[in-house]
Amino acid sequence: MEDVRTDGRSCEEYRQVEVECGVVSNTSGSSRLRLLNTEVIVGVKAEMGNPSPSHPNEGRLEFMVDFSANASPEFEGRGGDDLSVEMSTRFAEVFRTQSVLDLVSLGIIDGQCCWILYVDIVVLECGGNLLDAMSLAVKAALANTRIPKVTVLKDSEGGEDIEVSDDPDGYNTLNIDMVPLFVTLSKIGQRHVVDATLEEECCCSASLVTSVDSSGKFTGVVKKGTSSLSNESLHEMLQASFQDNYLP
Amino acid sequence: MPVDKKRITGPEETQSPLLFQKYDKSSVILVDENGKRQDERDANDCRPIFMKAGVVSQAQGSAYIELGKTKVICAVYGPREVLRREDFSMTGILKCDFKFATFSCPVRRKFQPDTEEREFALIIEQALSPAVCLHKFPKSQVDINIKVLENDGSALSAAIICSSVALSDAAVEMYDVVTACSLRLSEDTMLLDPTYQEEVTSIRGDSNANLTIGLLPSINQTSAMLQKGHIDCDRLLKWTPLKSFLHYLLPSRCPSLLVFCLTTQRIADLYGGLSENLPHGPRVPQEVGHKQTPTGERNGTRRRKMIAVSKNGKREQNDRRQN
Amino acid sequence: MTQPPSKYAVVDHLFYPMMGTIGNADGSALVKLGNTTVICGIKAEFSAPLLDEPTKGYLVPNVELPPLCSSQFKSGPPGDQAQVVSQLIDNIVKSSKLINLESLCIAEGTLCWVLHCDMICLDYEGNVVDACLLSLLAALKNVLLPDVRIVEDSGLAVTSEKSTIPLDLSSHPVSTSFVVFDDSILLADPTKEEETMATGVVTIVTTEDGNLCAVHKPGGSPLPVNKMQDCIARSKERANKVRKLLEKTFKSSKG
Repeated sequence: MEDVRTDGRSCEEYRQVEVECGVVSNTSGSSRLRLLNTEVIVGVKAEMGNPSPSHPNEGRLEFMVDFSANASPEFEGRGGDDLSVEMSTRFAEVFRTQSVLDLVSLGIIDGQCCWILYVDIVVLECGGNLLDAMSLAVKAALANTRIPKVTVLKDSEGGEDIEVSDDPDGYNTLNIDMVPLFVTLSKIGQRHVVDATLEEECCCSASLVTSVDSSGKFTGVVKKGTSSLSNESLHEMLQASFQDNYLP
Repeated sequence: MPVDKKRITGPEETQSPLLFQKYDKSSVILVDENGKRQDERDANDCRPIFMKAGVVSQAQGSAYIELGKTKVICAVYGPREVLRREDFSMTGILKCDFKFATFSCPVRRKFQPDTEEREFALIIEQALSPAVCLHKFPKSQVDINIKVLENDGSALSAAIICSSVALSDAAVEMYDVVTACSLRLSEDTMLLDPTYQEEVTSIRGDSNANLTIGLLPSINQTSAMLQKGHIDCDRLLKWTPLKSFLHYLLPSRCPSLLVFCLTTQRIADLYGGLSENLPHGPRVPQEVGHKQTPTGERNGTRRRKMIAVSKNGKREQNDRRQN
Repeated sequence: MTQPPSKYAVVDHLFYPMMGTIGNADGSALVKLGNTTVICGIKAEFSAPLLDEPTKGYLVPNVELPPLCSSQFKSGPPGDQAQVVSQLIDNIVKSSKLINLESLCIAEGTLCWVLHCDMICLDYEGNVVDACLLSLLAALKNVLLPDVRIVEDSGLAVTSEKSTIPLDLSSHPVSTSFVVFDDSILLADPTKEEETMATGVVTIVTTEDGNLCAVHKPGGSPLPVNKMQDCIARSKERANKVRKLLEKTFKSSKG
């Protein structure tokens, strides 16, 4: 069988990726990504809030996916809601894994105050393979995120005050080395492909969404679609996701 | 926060007493030096399973499963008309409603379905779809309602097994009964069918992952896979738990399936031998105006294809016409 | 019709309670009335008491009729019937003084227990009120709360690892529902079929000292006074039987 797809790519080849960082000026970090027809903008806002009672010394990330009605007619009105919940869950799930991001560094005062990073993903154009594109854009936006330096001052009565640095260079950046990328493998006929286009997604009966980090570790795998996979293809697909982790 | 006018509301802010309990996290171990887990199991042991079909009198089909202390109940309604217009489809669809009971977990759950519950519902839908003959009931849907009454780990796999048994109890035509199993992977251990404590305990080190796989045993294909947490690609692929894990899930080796077979056999024996391997004969749908099945066949002559269990424990496909 | 409706027939379905079924709940019970199954789980949490009632805790009962229990219910927020039953149970809990809310207070004005009592119907075949109230009572009976200590200097609460303290129930209200067919036939413990065909429903709640605690008759065909008295007498008789059974189950679940 020849390793050529309808658009001339081989089965395990991505489309051309363009990433641009810092595109939205009033966010803490942002990025815009184009994967041929797929276009995504990600904005990260850092805000102070209350930590969750179960992890009092850690900050957290909140994901929100928004589908522009321009991206595809089916997203009009509340059409994209289910998909948006599904995708933000996938992100939240992956970032809950220890060692993806150092969440402790986002804590400010134990049990009282922490940084919450609101990650808003806007899909402007949908040309297939949304999750992979989003994860790449999220990683770029997080790399670009600047979190102001804060100092905790103790006053005489034992109370605590937070002072945010007003020095424009006084910011911290996040260590994004371990932030994983999604690799979606779509099973079409007897083969699997990466970076499926819209047409390919229509023909695909089952896919495997894996998230892989730079050290070659899975941080999450989920099977989607209404068909089942044989052991061999499952094994092959997992193997492929490992190899495909060559992206920036 | 808007006030929930449809429920009796308590105070706005409540905290679980577990947050105030003092215990040393570092002392928690998964496996002791003899290779035994906290509940005296070996790493490859499943917990005892209890299963019963036909527990909800109002439903077309239902099942209840206990996996150790994990308790799940599932009821199946349908096939019936699609409720939402946008769900219309020329093949049948499965609609899954998955909910943890508020008191099922150590920390109280909310009434509104959270993201985890929605995700599980989707995974169960997709795990069962390949096993159901969806083309047999076009333009209609089967509702699968799942309630986890107690979550002591492996809730998703219990729910998958339970719902596929409920589907077969509802005489929905199926190619196969889906079975599932969970696995806890950490640095040097691999625990089958983890308890809640084992699922949430994280050991310092690189690999801490939970893996759930749903399998169609007769064609040996994976219909669901969910992995959360860190795990080495190499480990998952090469010398790995995955292979041996899938191996466990093979019909001959899979403990949960084996027990399932035994349970069905027990039910079968109870109800007069193998010719009636499910507790009920064909059920007449209870709703009025549903005298005909959506496939157009009369109830009495509905063909049922199901998995039977013969006395020697082997499985066989059984395609028969019931009158 | 499963049972021939003879005049004044009082047919008790097989009644079957089970206590302490859910390990993760602080108290739980499963009640089966015929096919109708209700499970009640109680979760205790901390909260601050209300400003105008600083010495009282909370008991929050909620009834859930999920799509699982019958095809007539939809998923989503509770429907009309679930709201009515929840409200009725809340009223019964309040009026019968089932539990002394002051015993749920840990530190006056700052900390108290909230008992979230969630009753979930697993199989809906009529008479869900009786089953819910019974499951609530049975679950409350086996609630065990941990011991709470407040550390002097930090003001934080510390709970003991083992839960040992039972609740102090001051009364045991038991309800009996009847359906009325054109003011001539009374049936106790109605099935779903009987409920839909009947012309009226009446629920009578009595406490163990023989007092009437609540009478709930939401419209329907009018009921003559002597029939009503008949209902009350029957419900007292049945409630005593139920209480004895409950006590027996409670003892056997402990021993």
